[in-house]
Amino acid sequence: MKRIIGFALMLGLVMSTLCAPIFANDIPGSTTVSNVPPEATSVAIKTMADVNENTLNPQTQYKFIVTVRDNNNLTDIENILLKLYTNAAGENAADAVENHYTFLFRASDNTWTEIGPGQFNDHLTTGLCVKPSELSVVSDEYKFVVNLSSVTTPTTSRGWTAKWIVTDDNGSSGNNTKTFDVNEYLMLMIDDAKLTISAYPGQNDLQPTENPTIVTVTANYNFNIQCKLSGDLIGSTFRDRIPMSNIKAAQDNTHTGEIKLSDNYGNLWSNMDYGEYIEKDIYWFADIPYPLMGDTYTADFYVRAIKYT
Amino acid sequence: MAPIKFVCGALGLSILLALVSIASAEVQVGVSNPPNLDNLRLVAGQGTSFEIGVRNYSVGENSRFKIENVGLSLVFSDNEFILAPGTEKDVTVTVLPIMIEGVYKGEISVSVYSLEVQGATPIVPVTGIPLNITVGEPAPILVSPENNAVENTPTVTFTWSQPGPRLSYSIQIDDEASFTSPYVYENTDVVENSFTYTFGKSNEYYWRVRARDNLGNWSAWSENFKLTIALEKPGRLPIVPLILLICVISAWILLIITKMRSKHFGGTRKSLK
Repeated sequence: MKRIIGFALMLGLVMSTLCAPIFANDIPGSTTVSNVPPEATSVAIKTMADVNENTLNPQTQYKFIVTVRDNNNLTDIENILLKLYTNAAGENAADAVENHYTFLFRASDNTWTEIGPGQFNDHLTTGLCVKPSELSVVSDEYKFVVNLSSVTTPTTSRGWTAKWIVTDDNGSSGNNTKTFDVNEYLMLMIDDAKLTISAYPGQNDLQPTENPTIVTVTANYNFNIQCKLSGDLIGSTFRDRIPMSNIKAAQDNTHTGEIKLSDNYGNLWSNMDYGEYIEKDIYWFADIPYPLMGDTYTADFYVRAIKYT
Repeated sequence: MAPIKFVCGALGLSILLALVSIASAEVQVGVSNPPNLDNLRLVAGQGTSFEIGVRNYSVGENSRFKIENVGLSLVFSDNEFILAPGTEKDVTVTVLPIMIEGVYKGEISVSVYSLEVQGATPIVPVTGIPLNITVGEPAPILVSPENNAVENTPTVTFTWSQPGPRLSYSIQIDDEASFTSPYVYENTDVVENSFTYTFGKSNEYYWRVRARDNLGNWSAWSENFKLTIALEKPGRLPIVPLILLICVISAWILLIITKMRSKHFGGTRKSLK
């Protein structure tokens, strides 16, 4: 009897469960899914070989990577702004090659743009910038490929800040920052591969046919231009010699700032302002001793730029 | 399309700052697409692109590269760039459509024209650039006759000194300080550092000497010395003394005649008295 009662109860319970939807009433109403602000969950600066880097060389490409998270999916992301600035200049300074850069990714037309200081994406390699291939996800990476100008201010102790600002289509935003340093940069070019002088003993102030030697310097700090000789000029046949002090370098053909060369570097220009492609003309002069054996005399000259201290 | 590469670059610092042709290429256009490379023979279709690799083989120095072509209508994706030591860069080369089907011989060159150090190193060393001074033979030093000398004899011996051994000398004698050809005299093969010359007439002359070494290189000319030749004409007596002599003789003869006459006529007069 107990077993029959138990079975009936079980059957009633199952039937009531199965039939409940049939007899339920619809309840009218609506649900609103609220916007979730985007987040820049992590940021990184990497070399093109994907190695993390905190100290950047000017004129070199780096990836500025931000991982964006938006719980409404990345389709909501409208733009990403990347600002690079020295702490001395501050985030809101005007764009300048020395201390402030602004780049923008705009999702509406998938464009990567340098807002400044370059007018033609001078410091942004748009072809290498990367956005997520799939936007129906909540998180992925956006990569700006940036190369800083050769006159970017060098710093130590994390003097630069990179700031990513991610904005969605509701105007909500999130940001993240990373500090880094920029290395000193110096490039020097010389337009002469050799200097040639034809002379007779006793002649003075002879100039090589190549005069002047054009030295072009790009640096992000003030610098000196220096030159020296490898030593006395030695005759190839008779081993006679022209003392290196008989060779002089000057800033113009009227001997301004002239220095006698030695095997130690001497300043020809001092405390030159940093900048790009700064050209200076070096005029060389030679005094030929008398007497001197007829011969071909050779030495190497050196020109360098060095940080002004 | 698999990239076709050939690698060229700076072989150390020895070619620094020199324009170095790395690869001569023969480009055949219109035969193959994608292009291929066989012993530097590039075969490419019009308007197609291929890649070349440029490597910096130098040690310790960044190098700035410049890539150009001669005789071919090619466009490079990057003409100038900087490579760190041991790194390589792919450059896309596009064959311009103006290259109609055919075989072209040209040259792709890579030049390294500067070194660069970037990073924390504040000093930029640049490889030495040769300074060559070609010094000609030292000019001889004239010894005698000394400058502005006056010689009364027609035959004069010129001497000079010369630092270092020399093969021969050239001497010029002229009546103009500017030594305008033709000269009064010239000898380009004097083997000693002296020379004797006989002048034909009195005049003011100038002389100079230069030396030649065993390679045939001439020195500069010595400085010019002035020489005056003042010759006496032979067999010609001075007129004034001759006239005086004639006068004296004439006077003496006249005196004798006068004395003889006075002696002869004086005796007669005495006898007449």
